[in-house]
Amino acid sequence: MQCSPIYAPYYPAAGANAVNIQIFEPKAYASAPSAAPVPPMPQYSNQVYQYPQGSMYYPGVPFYPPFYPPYQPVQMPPLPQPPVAPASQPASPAPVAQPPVAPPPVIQPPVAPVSQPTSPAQVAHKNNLKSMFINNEASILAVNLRMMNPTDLDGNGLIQGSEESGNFINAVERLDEIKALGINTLHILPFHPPGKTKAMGVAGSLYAPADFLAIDPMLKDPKDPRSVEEQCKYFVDECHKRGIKVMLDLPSCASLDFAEKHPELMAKEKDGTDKTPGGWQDIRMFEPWQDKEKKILNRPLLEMHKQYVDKAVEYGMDGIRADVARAKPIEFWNVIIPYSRSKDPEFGWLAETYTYEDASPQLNMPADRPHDQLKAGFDTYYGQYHIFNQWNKAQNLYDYVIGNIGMSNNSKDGPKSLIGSFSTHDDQSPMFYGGAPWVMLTTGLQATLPQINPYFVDGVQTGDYYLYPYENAKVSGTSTDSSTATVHRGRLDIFNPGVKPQGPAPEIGIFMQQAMSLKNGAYKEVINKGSFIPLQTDNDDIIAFARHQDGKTLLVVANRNVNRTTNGTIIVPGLRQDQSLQNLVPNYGEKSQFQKENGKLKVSLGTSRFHVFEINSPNIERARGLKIYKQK
Amino acid sequence: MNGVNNISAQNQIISQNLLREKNLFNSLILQSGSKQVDQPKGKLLATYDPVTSLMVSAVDTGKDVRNFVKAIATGKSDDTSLGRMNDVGLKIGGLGIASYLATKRVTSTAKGMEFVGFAAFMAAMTLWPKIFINFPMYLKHGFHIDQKYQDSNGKKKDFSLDNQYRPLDLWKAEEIDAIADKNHIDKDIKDRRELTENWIYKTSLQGKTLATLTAGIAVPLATSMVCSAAEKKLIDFNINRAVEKATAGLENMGKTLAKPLDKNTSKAFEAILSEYKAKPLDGNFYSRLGELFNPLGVIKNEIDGDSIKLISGMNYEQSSKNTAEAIKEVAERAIERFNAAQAVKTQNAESVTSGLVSLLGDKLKIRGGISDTSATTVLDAEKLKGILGNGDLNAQKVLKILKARNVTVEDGDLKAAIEGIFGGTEGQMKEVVKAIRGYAAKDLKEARLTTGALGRFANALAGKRAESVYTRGYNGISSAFTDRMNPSMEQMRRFIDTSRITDEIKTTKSLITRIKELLRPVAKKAGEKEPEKECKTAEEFVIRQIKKIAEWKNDKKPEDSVDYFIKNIKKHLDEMDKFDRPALSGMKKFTDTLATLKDDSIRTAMSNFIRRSRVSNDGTAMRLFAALDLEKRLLSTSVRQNYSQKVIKTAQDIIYRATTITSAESLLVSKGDPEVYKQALKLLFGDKIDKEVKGAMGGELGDLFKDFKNFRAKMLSLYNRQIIDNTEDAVSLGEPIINLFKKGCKKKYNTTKWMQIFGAATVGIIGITLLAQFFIGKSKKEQELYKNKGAKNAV
Repeated sequence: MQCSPIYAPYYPAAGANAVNIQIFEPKAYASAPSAAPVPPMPQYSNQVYQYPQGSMYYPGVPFYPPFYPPYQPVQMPPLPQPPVAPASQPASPAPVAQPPVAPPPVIQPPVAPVSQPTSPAQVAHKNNLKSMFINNEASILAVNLRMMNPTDLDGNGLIQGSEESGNFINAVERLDEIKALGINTLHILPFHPPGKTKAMGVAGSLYAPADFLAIDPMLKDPKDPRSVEEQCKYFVDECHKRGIKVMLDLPSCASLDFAEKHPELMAKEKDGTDKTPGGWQDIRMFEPWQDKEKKILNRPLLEMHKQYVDKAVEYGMDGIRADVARAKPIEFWNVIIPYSRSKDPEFGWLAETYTYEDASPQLNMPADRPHDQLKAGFDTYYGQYHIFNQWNKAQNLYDYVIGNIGMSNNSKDGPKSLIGSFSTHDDQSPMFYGGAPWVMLTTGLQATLPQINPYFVDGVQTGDYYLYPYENAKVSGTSTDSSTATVHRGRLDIFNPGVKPQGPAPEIGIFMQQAMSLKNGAYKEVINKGSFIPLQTDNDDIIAFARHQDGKTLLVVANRNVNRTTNGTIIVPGLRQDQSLQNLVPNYGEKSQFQKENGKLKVSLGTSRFHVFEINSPNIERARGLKIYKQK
Repeated sequence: MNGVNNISAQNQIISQNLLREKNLFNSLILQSGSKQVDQPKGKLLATYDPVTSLMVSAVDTGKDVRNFVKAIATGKSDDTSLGRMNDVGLKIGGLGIASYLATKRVTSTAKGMEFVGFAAFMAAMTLWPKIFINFPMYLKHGFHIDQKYQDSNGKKKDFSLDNQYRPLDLWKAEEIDAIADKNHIDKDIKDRRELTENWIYKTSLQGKTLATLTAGIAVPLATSMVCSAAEKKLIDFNINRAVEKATAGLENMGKTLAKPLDKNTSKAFEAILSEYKAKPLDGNFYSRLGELFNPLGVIKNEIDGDSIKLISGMNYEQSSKNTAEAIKEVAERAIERFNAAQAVKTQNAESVTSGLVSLLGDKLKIRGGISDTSATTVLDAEKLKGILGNGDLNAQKVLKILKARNVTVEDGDLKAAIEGIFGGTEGQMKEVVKAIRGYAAKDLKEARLTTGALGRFANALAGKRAESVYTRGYNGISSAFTDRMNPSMEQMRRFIDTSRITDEIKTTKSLITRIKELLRPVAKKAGEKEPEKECKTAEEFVIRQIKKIAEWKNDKKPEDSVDYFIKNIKKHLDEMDKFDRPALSGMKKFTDTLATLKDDSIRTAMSNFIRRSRVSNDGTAMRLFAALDLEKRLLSTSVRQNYSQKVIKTAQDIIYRATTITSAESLLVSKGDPEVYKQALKLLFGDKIDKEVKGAMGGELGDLFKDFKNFRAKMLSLYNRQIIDNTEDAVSLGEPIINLFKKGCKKKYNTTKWMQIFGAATVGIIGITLLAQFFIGKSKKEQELYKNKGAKNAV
């Protein structure tokens, strides 16, 4: 098959004998215009970007698989030399299956700390993730370790055979690059060995663990003599060295293999089979109750989660992201979260919970109630920013922000926050909605809206569409009972050993860097603590708000429309005609124009453009007609 | 404590830490319930009784329509509103279909029934499950399967709308427990509430499935039953309304006639005249005028069989002819005047203009506020000519134009002068219009209103359609009589279709017939009578039944008495009187109003039509009384001795069977022996009325008795003459009793049969529905499953 060079990373060269995937729908790829010109890589400067006509950033233009620029690894400091032989190995963490009456599996702590050049003791690290969350200071990147930095030698998109999988050691190579983006927290997607039965994908879903207390051996660098746990600690230490916090993802359900071994932990249907959450084939649900009506929790399940926390703390993790937090009741978290805090008062907790539901639309899953989760001790939650693209008025955004500020201020359990869940690994790449300009718009909003800890999925910084050449293809080599490389199109692959996320728009990363620098730099107090002031406009597409703190005022102006330029007038109290407007984030896409008047700004905003200016309006909070919202 | 049990110091510290950790964890578990979940934002809604529920449903439908319109206008909606659009579509669509079908129906009742049918269908859809499924299930199971709740967004929803979307936390745990107790769910089952919750949904689903299964049959049945009951009420309502309206129309005739022609008709008339000012009048001209004035608008507006017959059968053609001639006469006069007026108006526009300029020029000089120069400029003769010289001006327009140029003409003389310039033209035009209006009011309108108002009145009172006073009276008499005859279904079937029965008996014999034959001896033993055997014909049956009434004694049921029979028929005559007396009084006023009309043939025809109808109904009732009177007197031995059997038979033939035709010249009775015939008439109408009959009619002073006496006298006269040469006499004989009875049988048989089939089906479906509920909500198997829950995977 003759392939255009543009697809070279996906297809082996003609005559190569390393083909081990079958493409069931070759037309899907063959239909791509082979003669399509490769758009030149835009080089970032302070000037406005000019996208080539026909670029995929323009909505309405037929999409073709993105051009992936060759990956340029960041120059990293040399790896520390692994010890020739560890002083001792920790006891196997594998839990022992016990009948319900038996005591839960007990994990023996190591008799003596592992002696490593980079042991936690040698890293000056103090966890403050909980504080970062509630102070809106965390900037989070979600990473899939097995895809974080693998080497795809044959370019087929899958890491197989002798190809080096993503692992703890090679992941370290990317930390400086991540740090440079302004990221200070990693959300490590589950890193446990996946179940193999009725599995999704050829590697198994990250969210279908076969053992909650073990680390996927695939993440061990075979060249490194340390155990996978030690390599994990090493990775965490390296993060900490760079000031990056690490948050581990706790899956809400278990694989079928796990359920088979631990029936006492699993929820049962009336016919005795394990309960399956609606929409999933490869996972089964836990039973959090021993007696729901008497409110007696399932002790063995609590014990397992306790040990999970022990493990996380042992690995040096700074917090946990609870997958589908509603899968367990408030009483359950009211044990586990305080327990974690007994070990680390600053242990941070992020709940995957979105919005109030009257009832759950998902079979067997309880209704989503963010308030209850936050009350149970979670510091921050997902919220609903992932449906921002469905809010067709700026006011919808303001309403949501204001509602959450009120929620936090009225919380009896201290301030709460959200993550900037504009796009998570469950969502389709935002590139599909509005291309790089849209991603930069949402990044700008994350950097300037109140009560938000910015959140990105690995790959978004380069505009990855998460399109994989092996999508749903039959694969010859598999480590599960499935030979289909199941992929949820347009979403980060969590089922297969894929390549490192990489997209065609590195300018997003540069924008992100500047935006995060703004948020956690000179304007940290204004953005993380300042008041939120929606401004009046005459156009629903214009997002306009001010942030103010101690006389310092930021003016944010954006066009939420991905299809056209938007014109309108914004009432900006205190704005003077001679005010200089300097965009504090990089310009991109179509040009915007501004006409200043006293107390008023007339704008013509380019498609999906985002701007933030510092303006001299120290008394804006006292202006008539404005509503001021402050997070306590 | 160091070294105890060979535990190293380090391990001891670890053990202590582990113990501390374990204790801490245990204490946390003990405190796990220290935080409670928030109360749900939604709430369960009260469950209403069926009537309130129907009203709430109507209000909700209003909201749904509002949301629907909003969604159409904005393109935005939400899932709940979208889901409910199906219902809105059903209602709007149903209403649309009913409205369309109503336009195709002739009578008000038929039109109304389209909407009654739609409303009954919608109501049956709502009420059927509520009454026959939801309510019994509530009694049995302790919860409403149609329980509604309000969600966190304020939307009303059915809690069991979606079996996979269960807002169960809206129920209190105690409520779930109470339902479990009521339904005998074992108390020792683990996860009893979960089982109960699942069971509630399962039971609701079963109930709703039952509703779906039965609704397809039950709703049409219930709808037809409701419609059947509603139709009579609707007919009554329409009759009352029509009579009141028609009577009011007659009484207000004077006022209506005094009203000028409406503006639109005047304008349209003027437009036609304008079009024909320069060309000869042709057929199209007259047809357009005819269409415009529609002197017989009653036909167009009330196209129904009765109206058409009513008018066409009278003097419609003559009326049309008169009208056309009248229109032609007036139109020619109008055209002449109109053309003259137009000529004045258009002639010499220049001179009119110059006259204005000279007139206004002087006046403007003495007015303040506008300089002479500007005034001269504005009112330059050429300009003014340009503005005013279009030949289509009048004084008011000129004054308006001047006012628009800041020239306010307040000077009385000036105003008068301007009006004077145009006065001639306007005066002539006004005269034309006045003539038209005058003509329309006097001639065309009279013709139209006479026909229309009288037609409406006559139809309301005496129309052949179902919703007229006399039709109802006739139907009442027919039904009352047939009921009193008390025929069985078998008899009715035979009397309305004798041939079929005969064939059946002669040839195959149906299974039922055979069974009946087998059962006949048993029935005899049980004391049942066999009327079929005794009475082969309707006549035999009717005579026998009337004889029974005649033979009535105090020891029998009052419903079989002479008194009851007469009074039961009389009440229908009274009912007609109640309407036609005030209505006829209105007609008299109307007649007085139109006393000066040259041609009152329409009025006369209408009056005759009404009178004949009433006379016909009265005649029918009187024949019944006469038959009873005859049979009553025939009980007397002396009477039987005075008349031969042949005379008696002839008398019975006359009263039971004699018929006429509208233009009857002969009476269709036996042309046998004239003496027998004469004797028969004497027996029927000449001899003294039976005392009991007389008493039941109120005696000498009773109106009914007087009417009956008059009827007998008239009948005696008519039958003696043996010639009926006018319609009124023909209809005064009333309907032959046998015909009346057969018609009554047909109606009663159909109604009864219909009720037997549909009533039985309705009762059947209700029975099945209720019976099926005994199989709903079985939970033993579920309970067993829950008891063994987890066993499959348990270690």
